Order: sequence, then structure tokens, then C-alpha cells
Amino acid sequence: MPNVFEILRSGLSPDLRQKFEDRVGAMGRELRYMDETDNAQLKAAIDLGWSFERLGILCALNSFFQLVIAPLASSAGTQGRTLGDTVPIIHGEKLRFDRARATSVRAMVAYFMLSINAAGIGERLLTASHAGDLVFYLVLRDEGLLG
Amino acid sequence: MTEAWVAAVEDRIQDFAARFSAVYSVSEREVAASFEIGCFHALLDSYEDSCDLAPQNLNKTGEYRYLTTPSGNPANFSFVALRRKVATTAEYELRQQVRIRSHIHDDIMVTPDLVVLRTNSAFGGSRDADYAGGKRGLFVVNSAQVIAAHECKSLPPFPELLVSFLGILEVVHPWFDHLHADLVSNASDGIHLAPSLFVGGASRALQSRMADALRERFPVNMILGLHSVGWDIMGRPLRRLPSALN
Repeated sequence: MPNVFEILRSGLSPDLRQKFEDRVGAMGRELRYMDETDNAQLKAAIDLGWSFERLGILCALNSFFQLVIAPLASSAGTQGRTLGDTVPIIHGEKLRFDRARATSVRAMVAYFMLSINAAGIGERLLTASHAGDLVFYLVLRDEGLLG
Repeated sequence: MTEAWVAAVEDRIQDFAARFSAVYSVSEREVAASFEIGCFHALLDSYEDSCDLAPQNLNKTGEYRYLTTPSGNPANFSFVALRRKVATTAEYELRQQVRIRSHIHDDIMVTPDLVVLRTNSAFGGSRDADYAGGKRGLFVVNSAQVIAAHECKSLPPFPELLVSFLGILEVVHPWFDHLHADLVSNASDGIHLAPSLFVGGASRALQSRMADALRERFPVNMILGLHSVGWDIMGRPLRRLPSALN
């Protein structure tokens, strides 16, 4: 089976795929730098069972959430609005933000978060800005120090 | 051999992709548009208590035509009229991607993502030899008509992004006096949000402190972490412009 990075990457449009690859790549380089400099947080994460393979999966999920899921969810947040619901928004020649679109985006977001929660990952890890922040939150969480 | 946790996550993500790749296989432009529309909704939410919100200039089938570029004539696109609920003639327009000409110099023009204008603003449209070879009209609103301009950035915040927003504050808001910035920023009796930077990405602790400091010293809002904190911005401490500016 393809890994998480490849599964998510393959479904993206070319322009978003490039951004996704760049962000995951940057997070991977940050992890390698942390490893080379004997970063204490990274050591603690590894001691807690977070292998580089696992951390790579978190970086892929984090990047996918920030580049794709969260921005798409932005316009589909609340049911019952006038604009984007009963009054569709036509954005340029091709884009249409309406009730049907909002419904399918909300279903996607809900399913993604269900999958994430089932894996015990948690939203905080998805919203970390950098690999260092992600590792920091991961260690705090697993040591029971994250409120 | 793949460990159980990794295999389980791969299974779940494979299942997710099979169900929803048609929904998320969209262009970068659509993702950016979606975020901007989220900001547009959040800004409208801030007017719900004080104004009746009325979409105007819809197309023939009742759809809202969202202006996506300053090259379009705003008069041909939709906007939201903001009409005070209290007895007053005050009325404003929330528009998108309208080019603003600065009061500082005629050649300083910028296009904020969202802008609240006084109603019935003129959009210009004269030709300029340095724009599109003089073949198309240059649509622009004088900054005297601007109540507040807002920017939307889906990316994580960084110090230079926060500070650069002060440039928008300076060049498109004639009411802004940088020598007395703190006086304006301490007011909170108006209906309009102060010029706001909407940011999707989460901030680090130092950036959050910087955003708070900028909001304290300038009449702006730095609304960070929308992807993580959420879109109900009204629960946050927000600057509003004093009613005297309306």
C-alpha cells in the first residue's frame, strides 16, 4: 500500500501538490536538523515511540490539513447563511460556492477529523506551524502536560 | 514489516482519499478563494448585531458575483449593503478586490482583499497609458471613501507579515493619524471592525505577543490562527473604530 504522503499527494491538483511536497519536505529537513543537533525534544519524542516514519506521517497530515482541509473548510463553516448557501457565490468564471459544495466540504472535513482522531493524533498536531512545534506539542501531550 | 499504527493510519487515509478526493482535488486558486470567503463571512458576522446585511447587484439568476481582480469594474459585481438597524441614514458597502487610490499620493494604489466603503463610491474607470497599454479603464476608489480595509492570508503568521499590514493601514485610511494611533485604537463604540488582518495559520507565543502589541498600539486587529482557533471571531478581543469616524 502507498504511504500516507503518497496517498494524499496523488489526489491533489498539480499546483497544490507542489506546495504539499515543499511543505512536507521542509518539515522533514527540520526534523533531520533536529536529529543532527541532538535536539532534546526530538529525542524525547523518539523515546515516547515516535519513529521517523511516524513523524513523517504527522508532517504529511499536518501539511494536508493546513494547505487543503482548513482553507476549504473556511467557506463552508456554518449552515444557513444567506451568501454561499441560499445565494450562491460565483467566484470568477468557474468557481461556485453554494449549499451543495458546502455540504460536501463539511462531510469531507468531518471524515478527515474522524480518521485523525481514530488514530489518536489530535487537532493540535495538525495546526503546528513547524516540525519543531509539532514535536514540542507531541511530547507535551504524551507526557500529559498539554492542557 | 509495517508497524500496526502506521498500517492503520494508511488504511484510514486510503479510505478517506477514496471517498473525498473529488472534493479536495481543487486548484490552489479555489483554496485561496475559499479562505477569503471564510474571512468575508467572518466580517459579515461582525455586523449582524448592528446592521441589516443585504446582498446587492446579484446576477439574473440571483447569484452573488464576487469580484476577484481589480481589473474588473466593481459596478458590475455584487456587494453587501450594510444598513444600520437604528434610525439613521448611514449605509456602507462591503466589497472585494477594489483598488484604492491613496490620499498620500495619486500613484499609490493597492487592492485589499476586503474593504468597507461609504455607499455610492465612485469607481473611476478612466484610461491610463501605464495600465493595460491604455486600452482598458482603471477602476479605482479614492481612499476618502474607505472605512476599513482587511486582508486575508491563509499561511502561518510571521513578523514581517504582521508589520506589513501597517502599510495598508497607513495608505488607505485617511482617518489614521500615526502620531495618535493609540487614541484611535482605544475606542470601541463603533460598528466597524478596525482594519483587520485575517490569518489562517497558528502563531507561536512570541508572534501572539507581537500581534497583541500591534493591536494595542495601532487601530488594527490581527486575527490569527483561524484554522485552529476557529471562525467565531466575535469571542475574541477585537478593536472597533469609534463611531465618530463613521
